[in-house]
Amino acid sequence: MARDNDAMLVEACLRGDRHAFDKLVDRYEGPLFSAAYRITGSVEDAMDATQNAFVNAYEKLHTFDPTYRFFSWIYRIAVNQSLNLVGRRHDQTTFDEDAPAAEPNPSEVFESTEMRGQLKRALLELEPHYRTVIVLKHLEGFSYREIAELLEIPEKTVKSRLFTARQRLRVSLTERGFAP
Amino acid sequence: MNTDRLEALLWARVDGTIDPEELAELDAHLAEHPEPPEIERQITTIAEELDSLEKVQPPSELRARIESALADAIPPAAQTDHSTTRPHTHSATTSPARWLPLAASLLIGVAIGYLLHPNAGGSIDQSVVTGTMVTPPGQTETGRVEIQLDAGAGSIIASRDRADVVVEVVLATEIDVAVTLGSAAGPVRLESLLSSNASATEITTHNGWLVVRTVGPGAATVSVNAIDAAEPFRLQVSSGGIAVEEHWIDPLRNEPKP
Repeated sequence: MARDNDAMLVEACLRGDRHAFDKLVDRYEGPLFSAAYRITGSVEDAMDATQNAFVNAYEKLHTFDPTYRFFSWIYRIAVNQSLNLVGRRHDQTTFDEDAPAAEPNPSEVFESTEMRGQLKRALLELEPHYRTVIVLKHLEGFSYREIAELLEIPEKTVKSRLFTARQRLRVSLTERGFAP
Repeated sequence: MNTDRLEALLWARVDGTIDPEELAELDAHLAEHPEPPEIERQITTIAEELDSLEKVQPPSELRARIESALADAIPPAAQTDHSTTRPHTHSATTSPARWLPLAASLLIGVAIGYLLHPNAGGSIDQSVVTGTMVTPPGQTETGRVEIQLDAGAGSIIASRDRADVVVEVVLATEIDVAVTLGSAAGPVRLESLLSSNASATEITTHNGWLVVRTVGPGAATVSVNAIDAAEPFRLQVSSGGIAVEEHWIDPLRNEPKP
């Protein structure tokens, strides 16, 4: 429903209604930042990627093909921005642990905490294109087809990339001494 | 069943994409091994943990940053409104001598149009080309950036000497790349099209921005001038309507602009 409404907001924006784009920012600021953060591992980089994604989308809105979904388009821009930033950064080991969670859940503070911390680190150590498919599949909940559309790669490639990413994640966790 | 196959089937089951034949194969394997394999437990746990990773909230200052950046952005409506924004597009597939006098006279006007139109370029492949800055970050302070497009698609090199910037676009394939140049100080002026053997080179201006669109294969080199040598100079490269790279070329300050 919201995504159908995106097309109307895009249209309004192209007619000169600047507030229409603000509504798109309202809608996608959180999801884009969250995905960018998980890909870059840095709050600052995620902010840059999100900001650049919105500015680029705004300036190029007239090139957006309305037969496609806006959310796929802007996600693709944000993912590209994130990957560009990761590519530029030589030191990929830094990871902002203090990024604010959307819904802190005190009940999770037992054994899964250590597992989760290790998982986040293992995730960040994956090569960016592997990390990206994990983020899009598990954190953003996209289907194989949607990921293929977002990354502009065949669905088959998404599946094989995801398989390798998960396998590496499992092996990495095992090597850390954490075998669930 | 080898480990890779077992792992693939277990993940397919987790994803809900396992087909009936594969499920039967997996069930048969698991029935033969009454003790749940370690790998099954690992995959189940990892999937649960991944799915429960929390969304991360953006810092509150992000919204202000986005709004501020959008305030400086070129409105898309202005780019498509041909009735209120008189188009000026210049094609330069011929020699600079023929091209320059015309460009000099036309660049006075506000420009937009064919270059920025979504269908500009006809059947040209508009797929996204991501770029990588190969010049070490420190060298941006000296006023030079080099962007390599993926898959050997080409490169964009911009060198700045105070107020003058020379941009060289080299495209190996039939792709369509736009280089947008802007300065915080004021309008950017075209000095000259130094050379072009690209399939098409078009230059437009809009609200002080200068846009050089090059269609490969081939190369184009332009010289442009910013109004103030002390101000940083913005260069944005896009292909297929999506930004590839963005840089500030700032020869006089130590910090590149965000």
